[in-house]
Amino acid sequence: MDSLEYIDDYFKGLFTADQKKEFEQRILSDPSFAEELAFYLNTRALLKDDLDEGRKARFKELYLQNKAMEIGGSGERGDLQRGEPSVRKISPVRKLWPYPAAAAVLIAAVAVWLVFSAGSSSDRLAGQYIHDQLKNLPVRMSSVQDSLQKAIALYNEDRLPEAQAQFERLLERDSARAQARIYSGIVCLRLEEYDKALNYFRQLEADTTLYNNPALFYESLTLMKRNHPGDSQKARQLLQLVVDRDLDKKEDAQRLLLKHW
Amino acid sequence: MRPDNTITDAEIIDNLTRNGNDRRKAEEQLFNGYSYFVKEGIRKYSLAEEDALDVYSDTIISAIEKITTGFFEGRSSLKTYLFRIFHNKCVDRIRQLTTNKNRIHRTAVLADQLLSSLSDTAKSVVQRMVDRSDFDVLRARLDELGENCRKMLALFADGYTDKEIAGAMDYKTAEVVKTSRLRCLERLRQSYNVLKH
Repeated sequence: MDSLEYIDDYFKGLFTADQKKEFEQRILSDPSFAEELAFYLNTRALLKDDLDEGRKARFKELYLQNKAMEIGGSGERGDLQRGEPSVRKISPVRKLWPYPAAAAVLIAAVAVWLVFSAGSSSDRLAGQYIHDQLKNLPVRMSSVQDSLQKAIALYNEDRLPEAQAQFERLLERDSARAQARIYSGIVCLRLEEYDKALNYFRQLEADTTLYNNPALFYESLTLMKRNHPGDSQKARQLLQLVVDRDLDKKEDAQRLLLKHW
Repeated sequence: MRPDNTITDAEIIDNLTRNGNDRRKAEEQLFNGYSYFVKEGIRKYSLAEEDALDVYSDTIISAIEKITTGFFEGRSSLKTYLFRIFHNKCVDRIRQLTTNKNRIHRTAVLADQLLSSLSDTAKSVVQRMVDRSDFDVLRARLDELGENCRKMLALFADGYTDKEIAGAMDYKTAEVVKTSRLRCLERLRQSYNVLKH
């Protein structure tokens, strides 16, 4: 502890010139101290790697979203740049065809609306999202597998009850483990244990220290999937909150809002 | 996408030095603001899009680190500063790709930064120790440390002071954070040494 505190103070810039010389001398004369210093640096480097990996994944997501928007935008520009005259001469037959086409589109739209409003479109939309986005959890490449990674592996093999038990054991051992709480909520959502999932996400929401906290988004997804009376409205409010406050999963929230409301 | 005209360099820098969601937003503003550099990387340096994006992400991460630790002195605009970093990283990446050299391990870079005031002899002693370390074992021990400990250590590694950690994690004082943080580090060291030896 003393050496670590000594090393810590050095990196906080608390040392005078003489103390810095002494520090250097200790590196040269005491191999166990040099080893402790290497351990200190390695730990910081690994933690920083994790943080940067998360940032990079987020940046990549942002880049792809921006690119998709740009392509959409340039598509429009492309059409405009084709030099088509803005006013075209329309033949008498072409004058008439839009009416039946519009009627057909209207009938199709009404049919779609009837099908979806009679059923549970919010439930379906959430189901689709879960199917597309939550089928696999991210794994970390390492030759040593810890308990969290084991639980993730079970989840990704679709062994959901076993994964759930493993995540919950992790939480029992360490109740502050945010990642395990997120995944416990997600596995409950997949197992259709909605109330339990909501409970996990609400606990997570209270954690203000997380750099990325997707709790509100997952809470709304669970409400959409549960689809009890009032759930859809509440889910919409929460998604709007995610967008307004620029919280984690904002882009996904925007997409769900656009698709459903 | 060009930077939003309503956001100035000073505002981005100010928000980067805040905590939590404000910081995350500022990081994204910075990234989005100059993401057209990726195209420069493809056009000027003939990098594949994936490499150009990776280099650009590294640029932003490096700039965030410099800004939050006070190394960015504001002598040039953010754009000029970022482009300088981006250019150097592109050149490094090209060298790496042409010589098939592995990326330098993060610890080596970190050690170089943190130990900059030491002599080369002292640095090489530390480097030898770093080379002998078992990163997989350390990673596994770190993952088993407990969320509070890991969070505290991660925030510190991300440049938060003990006082800021106390605020973010609801500890009474910076001193309590320091003691707890060092205790976590000591626990990690012991479990790492047990498994390593």
